[in-house]
Amino acid sequence: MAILAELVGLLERLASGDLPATIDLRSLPMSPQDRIALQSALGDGEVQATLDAQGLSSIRETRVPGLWWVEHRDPRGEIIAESIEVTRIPQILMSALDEIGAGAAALRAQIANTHVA
Amino acid sequence: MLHTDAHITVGEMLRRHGISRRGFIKFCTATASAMALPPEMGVAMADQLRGAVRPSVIYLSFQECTGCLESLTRSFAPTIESLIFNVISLDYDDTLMAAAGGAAESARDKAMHDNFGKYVLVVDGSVPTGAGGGYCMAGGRSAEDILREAAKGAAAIVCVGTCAAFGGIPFADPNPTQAWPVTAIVGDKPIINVSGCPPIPEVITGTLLQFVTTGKVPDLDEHLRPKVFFGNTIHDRCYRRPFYDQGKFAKTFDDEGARNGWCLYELGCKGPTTYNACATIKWNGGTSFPIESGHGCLGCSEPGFWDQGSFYAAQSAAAWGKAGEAVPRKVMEVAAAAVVTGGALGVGSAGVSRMRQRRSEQDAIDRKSDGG
Repeated sequence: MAILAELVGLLERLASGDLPATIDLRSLPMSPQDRIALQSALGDGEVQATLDAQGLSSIRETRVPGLWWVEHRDPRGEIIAESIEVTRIPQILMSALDEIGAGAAALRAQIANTHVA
Repeated sequence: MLHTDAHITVGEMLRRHGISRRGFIKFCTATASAMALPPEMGVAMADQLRGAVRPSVIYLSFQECTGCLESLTRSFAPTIESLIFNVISLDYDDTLMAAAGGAAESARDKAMHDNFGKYVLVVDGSVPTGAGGGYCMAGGRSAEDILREAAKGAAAIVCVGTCAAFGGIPFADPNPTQAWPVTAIVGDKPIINVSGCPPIPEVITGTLLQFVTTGKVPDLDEHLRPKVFFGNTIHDRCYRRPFYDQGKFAKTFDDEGARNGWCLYELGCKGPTTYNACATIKWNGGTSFPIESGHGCLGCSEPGFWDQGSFYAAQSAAAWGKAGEAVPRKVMEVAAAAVVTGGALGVGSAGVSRMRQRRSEQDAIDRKSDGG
């Protein structure tokens, strides 16, 4: 499979300090058999995350460190995007700074309310 | 859906609706994927938009059936596409807004004044010019008058649906209201045609999102349609294409060929000359598209689709299939009107379209004679 050779190249570049990269699986002419073959070639790794935001997403590291299989579903369960990310950690997993600030403020308000009560 | 606080950012609007950055990244990633943009664009698009003030959008409805707006707002709820309403400030839409009468008209005037030169004008429906514009009036003014005024301050015009883009059904012979597409009325603004009867909701959303993110008109085909969605024919991407190539055709809707899912070309499918994304993005949240349900493509995203003879006659036998035939009268009328009124649609585009149809038909004949 040509995509495996491409992934190896992207991984080697990432390991030597290059930028992360993403391959949009929906843009490739893959049959269901090709997809299964790719999945079994990459296998399952140590990390499996489920994101619950506007539908469920599954973010799994494959057996190959740095290769993440990311599958986004809408609230009806339909796949709306599917990609392989070549990165140390997919950006979507990292908490956003503005949301961290808002969360801190909300927690501070909660503590204040608790003390009043 | 209509918000008066026009100056808050997209991020703030999303927060108010409980949509996190991650949820919004998903929406942008799916849109980038549908538009064949680089996949990294999803995160970049989400972060850029979250910090931006929501762009003003004015949605004008003229001679139309509201099917296009239904396509966008009623597909299945809740949809990821509905997130577009958090990204834009929809300042006027007479179907969706709570205000009516003078209050609605003044909301539009205020949005046009406050955002002059920056707002996106969405037009749904054709513009009837007969009877002094009396076939479609709002607030005592004709559709043509309202369109000309609203176009002046628009950064770009997005024609949603085949009526606004090409005249559609109101424009069909004998065109009793003398209806015209937007391109025949407005000639000095960037116009993006998102045709279809109705257009696919993801195509409407994707086109709007692309424009508000980049501020640029996407690459367009000769009918001013975004190439990312209208770059291939239905036939090019049809899952029944192998049967066409093998010469296996359904002859009636209940014969063995129909039951086996063979090609619907001989039952009038207009897939070979119709440019749209139905075969890839599909309908109803990716469920299917007409050919999957056993019915040929009607060609609804093409100019003059209503006047091309029977929907059930093979293209080789229908009005637009005969080699050497003159350009259909309707297409010529649009072209002539565009020239007269200074519109953007020219004779050239009609000619190119015609050549493309002929090429496609010749291709079909060649394949059949090859026994292929």
